[in-house]
Amino acid sequence: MLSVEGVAKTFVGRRPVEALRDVSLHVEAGDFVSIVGPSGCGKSTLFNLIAGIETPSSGRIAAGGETDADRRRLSCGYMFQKDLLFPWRSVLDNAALGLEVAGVCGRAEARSRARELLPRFGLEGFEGHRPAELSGGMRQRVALLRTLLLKRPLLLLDEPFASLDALTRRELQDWLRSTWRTGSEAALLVTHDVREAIYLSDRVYVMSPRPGSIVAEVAVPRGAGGSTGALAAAEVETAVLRALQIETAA
Amino acid sequence: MSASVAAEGSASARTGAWLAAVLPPALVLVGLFLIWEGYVALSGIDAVTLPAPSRVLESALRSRDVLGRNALVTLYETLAGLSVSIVLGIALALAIDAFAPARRALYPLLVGSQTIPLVVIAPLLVLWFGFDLTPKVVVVTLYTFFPITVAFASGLAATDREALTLMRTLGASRLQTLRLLKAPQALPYLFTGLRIAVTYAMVGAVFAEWSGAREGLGIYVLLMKNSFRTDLVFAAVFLIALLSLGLFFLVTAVERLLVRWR
Ligand SMILES: Nc1ncnc2c1ncn2[C@@H]1O[C@H](COP(=O)(O)OP(=O)(O)OP(=O)(O)O)[C@@H](O)[C@H]1O
Ligand SMILES: [Mg+2]
Repeated sequence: MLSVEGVAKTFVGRRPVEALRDVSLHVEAGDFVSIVGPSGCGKSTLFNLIAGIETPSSGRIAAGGETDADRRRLSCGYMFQKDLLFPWRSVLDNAALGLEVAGVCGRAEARSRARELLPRFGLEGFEGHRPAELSGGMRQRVALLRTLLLKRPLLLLDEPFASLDALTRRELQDWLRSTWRTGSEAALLVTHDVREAIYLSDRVYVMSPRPGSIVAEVAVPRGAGGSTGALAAAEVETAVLRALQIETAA
Repeated sequence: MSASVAAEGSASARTGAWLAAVLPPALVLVGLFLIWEGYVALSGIDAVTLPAPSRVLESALRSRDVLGRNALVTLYETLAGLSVSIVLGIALALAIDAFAPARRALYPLLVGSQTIPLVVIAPLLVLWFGFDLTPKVVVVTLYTFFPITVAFASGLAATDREALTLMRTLGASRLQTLRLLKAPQALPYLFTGLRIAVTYAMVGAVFAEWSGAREGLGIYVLLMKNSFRTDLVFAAVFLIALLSLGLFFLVTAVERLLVRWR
């Protein structure tokens, strides 16, 4: 589904910044994979490379079988750190933006496809509202709906819940776990929250401080029903935190 | 969240806000008129040098037909010039935004165009185009296209970089990005430029008429001055101010209608 091989990125400029060094990772179809790492280690940069928005200094990226950056861009559903809703568009029109741009269907059809999914996204009755009238959690859900409606094979989620309070975040995590498969085959999530990574994913990659590289890959064991026991989760958390070189209390 | 609070604002609250905006300048104006009136009455100054406001109003009402007819001509020229300006300003801003070479080539010329002394050029325009509509439209356009162009161009340039990246990931063409993102987000900027433009527009038209016209407030002011009707000169000046103010509020009203997300 996605393979990143020995990718490096240095931003050239007055003062060159080496953001990524020799990053390799793999995501198979059906996988939900997380990346955790300290702030500024190059996680968003990695996503921009995968999505074909920036070009790597070296290395190779293939997503959905595409290596060409322009075509790779269209196989990724990229949800940014910010919701980037357009304040002049209603909830419905914001959600339908991607479909409208893609031109796979007319504007009316795009809106009706978005409308169908509003209840599942907890946005029923809000289609006419403007983003400024929504809570932070609802805005994130609209942004997610805009991304998921495109049904791009690979989902890239860059800290989608970072700005939310703990309660709303938990609610959206539950809900993401049950919805992400609606249109996509695999998902890659960037987060600062180790527990969020463990709760949502099958595998966790740990990145080093800048220049970022992968320092550990930790599998999350899943019992029947897809949940992880408290003990197993604690073990995984310890392993991830150790890789991040954070002292744990236990 | 502030938007939802504003949406709940009752009609009476809105009337209150409107009063708070209109009342202070109205009171200042009334005060000034009273001082003016008192000064004229006490000093015994003759009406050709400085007519009292009451006399200006009286004469204006008596000459309302001819004032109205001339005002209509000037208003028509103003609106024609503004229409050209809006089309030209938007086109130039789009060109400046789309091509870096256009920006380099056009900006110095645009700035240069604003240094043309219109006192010199207006009589020439009359010489070239005659006493009809064309020279007035040209002068109004020269007066007003610049703020529109600059405001809209900076609005387009102010588009959020991450939003542009979003459009790229969605696979948007340049035209789609312009239509769906850049143009709507630059709309408030366009209106800012337009508000500046309309305050100058009527003055431009009056000025062009001054250099040669058959009808219009500009030529009317000139004729009244020459026949020592200072009261009617003042009446025409107030009418110009009033009409410009009207245009300004018209633009604000249209903006309210189109830019409802602010
Ligand atoms: N366009 C750019 N030009 C130069 N340097 C950049 C550019 N984009 C990012 N960087 C630098 O690359 C490094 C990695 O940035 P990036 O945004 O990928 O970090 P991040 O891991 O997403 O951080 P956070 O967790 O805070 O979101 C930072 O030091 C940043 O300053
Ligand atoms: Mg980031």
